[in-house]
This record gives sequence, C-alpha cells and structure tokens, in this order.
Amino acid sequence: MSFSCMKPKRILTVLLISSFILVSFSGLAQDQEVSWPNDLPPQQDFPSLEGQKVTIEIWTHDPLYIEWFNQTIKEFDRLYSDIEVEGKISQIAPFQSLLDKTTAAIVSGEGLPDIIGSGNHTMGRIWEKGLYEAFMPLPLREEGLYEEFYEPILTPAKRPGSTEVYGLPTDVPVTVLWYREDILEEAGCEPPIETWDEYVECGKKVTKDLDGDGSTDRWMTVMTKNVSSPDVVPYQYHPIRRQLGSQFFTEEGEIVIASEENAKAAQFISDLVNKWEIAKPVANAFGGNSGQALFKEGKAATYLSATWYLDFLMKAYYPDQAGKWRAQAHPKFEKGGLVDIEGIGSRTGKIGGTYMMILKSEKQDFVWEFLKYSYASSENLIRYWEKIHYLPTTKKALDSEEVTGFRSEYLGGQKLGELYSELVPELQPEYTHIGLTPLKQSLMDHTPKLIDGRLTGQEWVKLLEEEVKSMIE
Amino acid sequence: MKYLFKRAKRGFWHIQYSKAPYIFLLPFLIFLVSFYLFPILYSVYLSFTEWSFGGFELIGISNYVQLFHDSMFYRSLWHSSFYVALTLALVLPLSLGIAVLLHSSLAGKIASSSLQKLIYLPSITPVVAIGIIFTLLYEQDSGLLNAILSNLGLPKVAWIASARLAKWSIMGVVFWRWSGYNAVLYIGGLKGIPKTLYEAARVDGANSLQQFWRITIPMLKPVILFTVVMSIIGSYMLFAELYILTGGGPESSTISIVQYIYRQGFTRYRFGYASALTNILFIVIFSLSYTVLNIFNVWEQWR
Repeated sequence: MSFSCMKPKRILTVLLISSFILVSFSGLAQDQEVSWPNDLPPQQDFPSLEGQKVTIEIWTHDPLYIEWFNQTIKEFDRLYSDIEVEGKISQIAPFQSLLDKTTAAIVSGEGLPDIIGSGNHTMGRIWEKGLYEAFMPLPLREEGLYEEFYEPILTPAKRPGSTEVYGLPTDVPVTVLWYREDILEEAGCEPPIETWDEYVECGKKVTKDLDGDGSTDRWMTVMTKNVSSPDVVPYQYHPIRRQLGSQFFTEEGEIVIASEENAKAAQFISDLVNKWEIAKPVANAFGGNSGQALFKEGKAATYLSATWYLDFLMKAYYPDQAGKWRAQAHPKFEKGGLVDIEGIGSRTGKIGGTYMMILKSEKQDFVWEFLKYSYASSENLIRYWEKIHYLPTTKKALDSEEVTGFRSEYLGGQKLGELYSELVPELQPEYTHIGLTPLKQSLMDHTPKLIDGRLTGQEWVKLLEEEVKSMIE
Repeated sequence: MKYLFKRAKRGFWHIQYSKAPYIFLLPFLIFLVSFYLFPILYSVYLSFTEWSFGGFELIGISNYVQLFHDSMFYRSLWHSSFYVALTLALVLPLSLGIAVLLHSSLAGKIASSSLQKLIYLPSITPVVAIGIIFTLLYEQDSGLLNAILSNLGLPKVAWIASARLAKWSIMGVVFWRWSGYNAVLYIGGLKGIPKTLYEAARVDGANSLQQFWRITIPMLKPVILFTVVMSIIGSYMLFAELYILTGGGPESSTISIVQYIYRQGFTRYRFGYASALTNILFIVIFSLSYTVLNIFNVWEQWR
C-alpha cells in the first residue's frame, strides 16, 4: 500500500499516533530513573536544606566539564526530591586566571563559588599563602573512598606535610609516546619501541636531510625550548622525570629539585638535542607553533605527551594524518646502554590534571555529596568516559570494559583504553609545594640554557633548586 | 511670619547657590577618591605589609629592603629603561620624520589624509590581536618574516626566541604600534605652525634643514614635550605586548618592571612586595618626567 492511495484523514491519524509515541518516549528518556551509585557511601539526608532551593556554583576552565556537570546536577536534583538543586556553572578563561579570580573572591568574601577546578600546576599558590584554609579538606579516607583511586592521582592535591586531600581529580592525563608508524617503519624501525636505547637508534635513522640541501628536514622529535608562560614548560621533561619516579618536592615538604634522577632526566632531553641530534629545539608550548608545523608536514615522528594531546592537538591540527599515528608506553630506561640510566620500571608520566575543590560554606557537605556523585563514583565515571572521553579516575572505572575496550579510530583502531589502563598503575606520585610557582618561573627562565647545552643536567637542576630556595625564603 | 518665610527662602537659595559647585563636582570627586586617591594611598600602606590568608600583617620597611637586594628588580627596571630609551631615541624621531613627510606637500593632500588614518590604526588595534599577529610573524620556523628571509636565501632569525634579539623584536612591535599615533600628534602640531614663518625664513635665505631646526622643532616643543612624557610613562608601563609575545622570556631577557610587579602580585600573591615595587616605579617615572619638564623649561628660557 502506498501513501498515495491513503486518505488524508488516515494519514493524519497515523501521523498523530506516531507523534504521540515519539513524545511519550522522549518524555521517558528525560525522566530516566536516577539512583545513588552503589559504589558510593549511602546517600545522606540534609534536613536543614529541605524545602529550599540550593544553587551550586562551579568555576571551571574546561567546557567539557560544564557539559558533564550540567548532566550530573540534573540527576542530583532528581535524587533529592525535597531540595531544589540548581547549577550555576561558569567557564573562566584563560585557565590561568581561575585561581586569581577565586583568590579575589576569597579576599573580598564576595561572589565565592562552591567548587573550582584547579590545575595541579596552581596548587603551589594555594599552599603558599594559606589559601587552602578557604577550602574543605575532602573526607575521602573517612568515607572509604581513598582506596578507590591509585594514590599518585591524588597526591598533587595533598597539602604538603599533611594527609589532607583538597581536590578530587577529574582526569588522569598519563603520558604515552605518540608516534607516526609509517615514518618509523619507512626509516627501518620496528615500533613499538621497547627501550630508550632503541629510541635513540631509531631516531638516528628517522632524522634526515630529505632534500639533500645539507640541513636536516625530518626529526625524531621536537623539544620545547622557549615558552611565554611558566605553566607549560618544559614539555617532555616532566614525563621522563616522572617515569624515573623523581620528585621536585617530597611528601614531607623537602625540596629535592637537584636530585640525581631529575638531573639525569634533564641531561637525557639535552642529549636528545645536542648529543644524538635527533630532537629539534622549538619555541613555545606543546612543541609550539614550530613544532606543530613540523608534525603537520610529517617532519617530526614522535612526541611524549598526555592523553589530551590526541583530541586537543593531533586530531585538531592534522586530521588528515588519521590512521598514521599510534600510541605506546614510554620506552624503558635500562642501565649500561647508550642511555645509561637505570629506570624503576615505570613506562609513563603525567602532564596536567584538574582537581575539583570545594570552598568552605554552610552547604559544603551537600556540595561534597554532589561532587562525589559527579567524580567519585565508578558507575558515573564510566558514563563520563563515554560522554567526554576524559580518562576516569577510579581503579574500578579504569579497569572497566568500557574503558579497556575503547579503540581509537584516529590511531587506526588501536586499543587505546587498554594502554591507558595498563599505564595508570605505573604512575609515580608527585607532591606539590609552596615552591611550585617559583619553580615554574625558574623552569621558564632557564630551560633554554639546558636545551642549548649551555648547562649540564646537573648544573641546571642545581640552579633551579638554588633559585627556588632563594625565592621562597 | 511672612518676613521670616521670605528670609528663610532667601537663605535657602543662598546656601543652595554657594554649595552648587561642590554638588556638581561631587560625582567626579567620589570617582577620583574611590578609584585614584584611595588605591594610591592603599598601595603605599600595602607596601609595608605582607598578605596571607589571615589578612595583611605590618612588616615595616622589609619589602623595600628586600627590593634593593633583588637582582630581578634591577634587571626588569633596566629592561624597562631600555624600552624608554629606545622609544625616545628611535620611535619619536621616526614618528616626527613620518609626520613631516606626510605633512609636506610632496605626499599630496589625499594620500596624506588616507595615510594618516592608516598609520593611526595600529594604536587602536586591540593589543591581544597585535600580540598574536606578531607571534605568528616572529615564529622561528613557520613565521612570515623568516619565510621571506628564507626565500631571499638568508638564514632564519630567532626573533623572539633569542635572548639577545628578543628585546629588539619587542621594540619592533612598539614602533609599529605607537609611531603612527605620535606622528598624528606631530602632524597636528605642524598644522599649527604659521606658514608665514617659513616664508620669512626662505626670504632670509634659510634652507630646509635650517627651517626644520629653527622653526619646526621649536614650534613643536609643546607636542614634543607631550609625546616625550607620555612615551616615558607608556614605555615604563609596557606589559601586554610582552605578556603575549614572550612572557618576559627567553631567560627573562625581555621582562619589564610592570611584568615583574604582575608576577609578584598575581602569580605569587605577594601584594605587599608588588606594592613596594609599584611605589618605586612611581618615583622613577615621576622623577624622570619632572626632569624632562625642567629640561624643556631650560630650553624655553635658553631660546
């Protein structure tokens, strides 16, 4: 039967019934049942807030967090039928200004939000002037949630010299080695690369003068030398340093910038540029515009960076290279070879990370309940991964099929989730300190001296440590 | 009763009349006190304190003592003074050159008017846009300037990546941004010089150079004074261009005093120390401007 032979009245009836069914189903979708996640402590009652409208104000730098909070706040509202929960979520840009704005609000006592998303690089500023007193220490241990996370994910939000954790992580930006499989294979390497010795050998084959004009056109990697912001320097050093398990500050608050491992990691990145000549020094962050231009033109083959590098840079800047890139764990350090450094077995590091922190207020316990719902429940974090692809933070969520089974189309269908899940347990802890902000400034000022080979790794870390000590005295 | 009422009415209007100027001035005075006087005085107070979460604690002159032992303070002040010196020595004379060229009949009236608008544009362009554009121009591997050099067979230059060159590259931005603005001011001054002076000079046999030194420069004195003082203040306050282009690097080779104040105040929350630096900067700018005014006064008397 064709529509042409149907009477207009009948068509109208069919259309009306179809619309009714569609509307009913969409209504059902909106009213999806929400339950308190099983892996969180029981949902609490808040009698003092009953019958009230509670606005949870959140400041974040990342629009993807806004998307997630918008969803969870609606669900949270449905869980508390006696309380009207409303979200007021603002994006603060640039991300460096978020803490400035928060500090201004703390000092003036006006316009304070309930939650802020603070980058781990800004934690030093929170500890330095006692700002942490405005924030709520999160009762993770008391509620049995601490063990749900791999500890190194929590340590950047730990106050120096104490066990208190002030921020709930929203992501685990573990680092991997991103590499152009086609370039490495064409050069005669066999990826994945197992050790840093192999990496250097492979780099010597990849780094070439392609057009025969006497100057090198293709490099194994790029090395950030100059940046215009202290928050982003020096990339590639931190992943390697953290792979070696070295710290800038100990858990007890001691400054250990000039440690042997930090010096070795520094010397290693300098050697990539000056000794083995397989890394091209470039300006600015993320390999900088120069670096990105090289990758875009296929003139750089590998880069150590975090999970977010894939979406923010690779897919955005060179979408046409989809299928050519792959990811692998960092190559291993092995003593006695070309790269004569003894590793500790870790094959990853971490760059970045945002921590949601609660500002003290009368409703702080309710806000904590909401934050737990958004970022401490594995059930919800798996949905978070599926929605915005930020790596979930709990052990259970990281081991879930939804994460481990994830394949990246950009990486030619590689099981990227499985790689991430394997690497997170190898992550080494990192502690923040009041010296973190001065250190970042010193890193920005003195990195060119290391990359140019004007200072050895040992001299460089010693200079950094002396400067940081003098600045915080 | 009627008399009393009349007297009261007259008195009321008398009071109203005598207070009227102050009432009219009040909005401005409130603005002036709230946003100028109070912050200035508060900054002086802050310079004797140290801030932490607990509040401000009075620490006497410690911030000033520390400041005079701070090598980065001297370094950043030196860089700012370099920007001031170069602005006075290069940007202003070149701006004057542009102004004279545009004002001369050679350029033609229409071309001159259009060019004036064109050269003024950089000064009203948002500084963030300028920073981003120049970052792209100065980029070492993919920047436009180096692309041109490469096409000419010349080696690439590390415009803002070299500690030696970065300050000069920053000055390039300053020149591009402010030379047009200053040139337009000079053109305004040039238009105010009576043509009869030049005619008389020509009759007396003065050549172009003599006319320039003996008529143009002296007659432009008020404008020159204005541009010199404003350039001193503006160059010491240089911040946004540096913040976007180099962040004070590489190796702190471009950091200005205002940027150092920003770092201390807003990245380390050392508001007391930042206030002390600000007060010293105020003294520097004030002394220099005062000296310039005196030099111009001496020049006036000498002439």
